[in-house]
Amino acid sequence: MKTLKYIFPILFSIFFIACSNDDDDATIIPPNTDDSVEHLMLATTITNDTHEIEVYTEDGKIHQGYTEFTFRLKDIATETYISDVDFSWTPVMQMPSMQHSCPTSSITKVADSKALYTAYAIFQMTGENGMGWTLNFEYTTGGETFDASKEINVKAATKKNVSVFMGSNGTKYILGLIPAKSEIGINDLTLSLHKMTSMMQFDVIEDHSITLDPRMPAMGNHSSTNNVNPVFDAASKLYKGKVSLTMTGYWTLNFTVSDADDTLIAGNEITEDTPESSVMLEIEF
Amino acid sequence: MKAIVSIFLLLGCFYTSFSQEQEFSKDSIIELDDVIVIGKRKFNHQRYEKPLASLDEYLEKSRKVSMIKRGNYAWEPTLNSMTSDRLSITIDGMQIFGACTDKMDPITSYVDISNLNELQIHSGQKGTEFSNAIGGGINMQLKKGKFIGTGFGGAIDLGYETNGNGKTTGAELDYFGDKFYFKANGMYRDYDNYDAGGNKEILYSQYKKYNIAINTGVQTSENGVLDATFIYDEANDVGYPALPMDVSLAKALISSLNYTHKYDREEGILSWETKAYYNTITHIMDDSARPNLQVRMDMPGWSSTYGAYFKLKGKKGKHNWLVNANTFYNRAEAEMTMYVDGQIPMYMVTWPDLRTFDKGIYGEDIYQINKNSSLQFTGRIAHHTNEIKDEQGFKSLEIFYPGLEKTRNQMLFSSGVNYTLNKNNFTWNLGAAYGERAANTSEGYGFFLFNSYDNFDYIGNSDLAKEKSVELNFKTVYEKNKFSLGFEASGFQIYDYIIGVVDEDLSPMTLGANGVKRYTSLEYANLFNASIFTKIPLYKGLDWEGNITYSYGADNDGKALPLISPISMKSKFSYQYKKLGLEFLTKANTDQVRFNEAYGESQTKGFVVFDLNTSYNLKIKEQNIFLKAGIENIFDKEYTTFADWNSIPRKGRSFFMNISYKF
Repeated sequence: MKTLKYIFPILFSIFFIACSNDDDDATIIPPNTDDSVEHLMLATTITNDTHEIEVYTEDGKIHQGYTEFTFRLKDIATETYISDVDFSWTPVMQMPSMQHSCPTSSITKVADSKALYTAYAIFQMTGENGMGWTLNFEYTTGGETFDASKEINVKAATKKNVSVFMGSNGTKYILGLIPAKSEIGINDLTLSLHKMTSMMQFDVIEDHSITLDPRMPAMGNHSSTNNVNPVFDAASKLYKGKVSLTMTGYWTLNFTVSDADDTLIAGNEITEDTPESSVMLEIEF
Repeated sequence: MKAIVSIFLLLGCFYTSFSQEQEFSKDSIIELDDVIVIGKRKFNHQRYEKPLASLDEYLEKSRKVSMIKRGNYAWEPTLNSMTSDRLSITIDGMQIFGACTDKMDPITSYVDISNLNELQIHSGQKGTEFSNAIGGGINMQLKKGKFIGTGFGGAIDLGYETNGNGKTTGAELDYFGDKFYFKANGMYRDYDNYDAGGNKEILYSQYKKYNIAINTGVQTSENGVLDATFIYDEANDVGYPALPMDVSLAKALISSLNYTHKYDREEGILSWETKAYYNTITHIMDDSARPNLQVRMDMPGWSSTYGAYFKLKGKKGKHNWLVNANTFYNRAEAEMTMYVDGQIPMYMVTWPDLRTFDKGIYGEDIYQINKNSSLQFTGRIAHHTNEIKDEQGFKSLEIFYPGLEKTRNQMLFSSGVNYTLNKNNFTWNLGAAYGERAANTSEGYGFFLFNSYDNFDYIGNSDLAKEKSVELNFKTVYEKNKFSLGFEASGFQIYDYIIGVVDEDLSPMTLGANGVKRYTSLEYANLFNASIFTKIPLYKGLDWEGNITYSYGADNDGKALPLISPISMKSKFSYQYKKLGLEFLTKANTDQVRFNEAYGESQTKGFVVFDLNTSYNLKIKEQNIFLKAGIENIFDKEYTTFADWNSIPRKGRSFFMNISYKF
C-alpha cells in the first residue's frame, strides 16, 4: 500500500513530464503534481517576501532530541514548488546570557523526489510556547540568496532521548537516540554523537567507541544479553548497534564513551551501587 | 548409609528363611508396577484410609510415587525420583499438559478422585505406551458406567476435616441399563488455611475446587461400546505458600469419545479401541492477596491438546501383543505482565505459543516361554515436532539464541525387555531398557520462568539434545497365603540429562532472584531406587504392611540431584472385625544426607508421623451407609519433607470424618 502511494505520483509525474512542453521551466513544479507529503504533517511555515518554506515532520511536531524534517520551498507568486534549492540552516537557542545551536545534518534532497529536502536536528533542550528556538535558513535558488527564520516550539520529550555530557577531556558531547519502534527481541539501535566545537558548531564524532548496557530499573535493574555496542557507520554518520529488550516497559540505555585511544571519557559501568550511567538514554514501549 | 545396608541384609535373611517353603505357582502375568485401585469395589474409593482424600493423597500412598508440594493443592507426582518432565502422565491414555510455567498445575490436579477407577503406575520404559518418557508412566483410568441393567442409582458423600476446616461434598447419579448407561458425578472441596504441627497456620494454603464428570455409553453391538466422557474441573482461590503468588483460576475441560470392540475368540485380534480427545486448560496466577509486593504480576497460561489413538490387542500362540498408534497436538502459551507503581506495564512472553506435534507407535509383546516364565518386549518410535508460533515469543528467545529456528523435528526411540519368572511362590522380574525424550515446553522454550525452589529464573534452550536413558530393574516378590515380601531396585543412567545450570552472564528478571539458569545437558546423571516391602498377617483380621525405600541421585560430578528422597519408611497395621475397621499408620523419613545447595536445597530433618482411623459399614436393607473417621498426624508433629518447596511444613493434627450413602 505504502509503495503505491509513491508509485502513483511518480507515474503521474512521469506521464505529465512526458506530455509537457520542452520550453517549460524545469525547476518550477506546478502545485498538486508534487511529491507526496501524505505521510508527513506540516509543523510550520516560514515565509519571507518571495518564498514560503513548508516544514514537515512525521507528526507535525518538533521534538526534543532527534527530529527528522522535510522541507519544501514554494514560490509565493506562482504557487509552485522549487526543485533546485541549496539550503543551509542553523537552529538557534536564545538563552538569557548567550545563544547556541544544536547538532544538525546538512539539508539534502530526498532521493527520487522533485522538490523535497530533508535534514535532522538534535535539540538538546526543549523550548515551548515559541520561546527559545529559532530556525534560521539561508538558501540559494536561481542564483539568488535568501534568508528566512521563525521561532518554533520544541516539545519536551517524555523520556530522555538526548544526553549532553562533559567528557573527561573537557569536550562537551551530545548523544542522541534516533527514534525507532521498539519491540520485544533484538532491536536496531541508532545513535548520533556530536561534539560541541563551538556554540554554533557541532561536529560528528567518528572515531569514538561506545558500550551499551540496557537496564530495567523497575525489575531490579534487570539487564539483557547479546547486545551489540554501537559502532560508527560512515554512510549515515551515525552509530549503529543492537539492543535486546526482554519485555515491554521502561528501559534505561547506559553507555560509556571512549575516545580513539580507548580512554574512557564519559559514562560508567553499572554496579549495585551505581545503577545508572552518567551517559544514559531511555526507552519505553 | 551403613544402617541401611544392615537393614537390607537383615530383611534379606528374613526373606530367605521364608523362601524355603514351596507353594503353588500361578500363571505368569506381567504385572504393573503399581496399581492404586480407587473405584473397583462396589463402594467407590472408600477402601482407603481416607476415602474422600484428594487424588494427591492417594498417589502419595503408592510406594513408588512421592509428591512434591508447593501448597496444600496440586502436588506434583514423582516416580523413580523423577518429576513430571520425565514422566508420561495421561488420563485414560489422553495426553494433557499443564498450563502453568511454574508447574503449579500438574495434570493430576485437573481430575478428582471421584473421576477415577484406578491409577496405573508403570516404571521406566514400560510406561511409554502413550508418549516417550524416562521415568515411567502414570495413567489415570477413568471410572466408567456398566451395562448391568440395574437402573437408577447414586451416592452421596460428605466429608469434614478439622484442620483447614475442609469440607467435601460429592454426589453421583447413575443410570445403568442393558444397552445404555449414564453416569454423572460432582465433587466440591473447600479448604481454608491448614495448621502445621504446633498450631502454626500456613498462610495461603487454602483452596476451592469443584469437578463435574459425565460419562455415557451405548452398546452399539454385541461386541462394541461407544462412550463419551466430559470432565469440567475448576479450582479457585488456590493458595501456594511456597510461591510468591496464588492461583485465581485453574480450569480444565476434558472430553473424549471412545469406541471399544472386543472379539470373542482365543486367538487373533482380541480387541481394538480408538479414541479421539480434546482438552483445554486455563491457568491464571494472581498475587492480589499478597501484601507489600514491589511488583504485581498477572501470569496467565493456556494449554490445549488434541489427540487420538488406535489400539489393538491380540494373541497368537505364545504371544500376547499390543500395538498403540497415537498422536497429539499441543498448544502451549503463557505470558506475564508486571505492574510497578509509576511505570507502564511490563509484558513478556514466557511460552511462545509452542505447538508440539507427536506421532508415535508403541508395540508390546509378551512371549510366554513356558508356564512359569515370560519375556516382555516393548518399543516405541515417535516423530516429535515443535514449532514456535508467537512472533514476540520467537523474538524473545532470539535474544538468547540468535539464529534460532522456529521449528524442530526429532525422532524418539525407546525399547525394553523384561523377563518374569514365577516359581515356588516367588516372582522374579529382570528388565533392561533404553529410552529417549525430547525437552518439554519450559526446558526448550521457557522465557524467564521463576522457580522459587532454588530462587532462579530459568531460560529454555531449544537446542537441547534428546535425553537418553539406560535402565536396569530387578524385582522379586515372595508370596504365600497372605504373606508377602518383596525387594525391588531400579537404576537409571541418563545421558544428556536436562537441568538448569547457572549462567553467570545473565541477569535475573525476578526481583530478589539469585540469578539465571539456562537449561543445559549434563553429560550424564545417575538415579537409583530400591525398596523392600512386605505384608504380614499377624493375627485373625490383623495385618501389617510395611516398606522402606532408598533413593539416590547424582550428576556427573557425583553431586546430589535435586528432589531425591532420603530413606523413607511406611507402616500400616490394619484390623478388620466384621464391619468395623481400624488402621494405624506410621510414616517416617530419615534426615536428608545428600542434598545440593546449588539446586536450592537445604537439609530436611527426619520425622515420624502417626495416623489412626476407623471405619464402620452400616447396611440397612439394600442401602449402604459407610462411616469413616480418623486422626492424621496424631502427635501434631511439625515436619517437612525433602519434597516440600521452601520447607513449608505439612499438615498438623487433623480429625476427619466421612459419611457415604449409596442407593
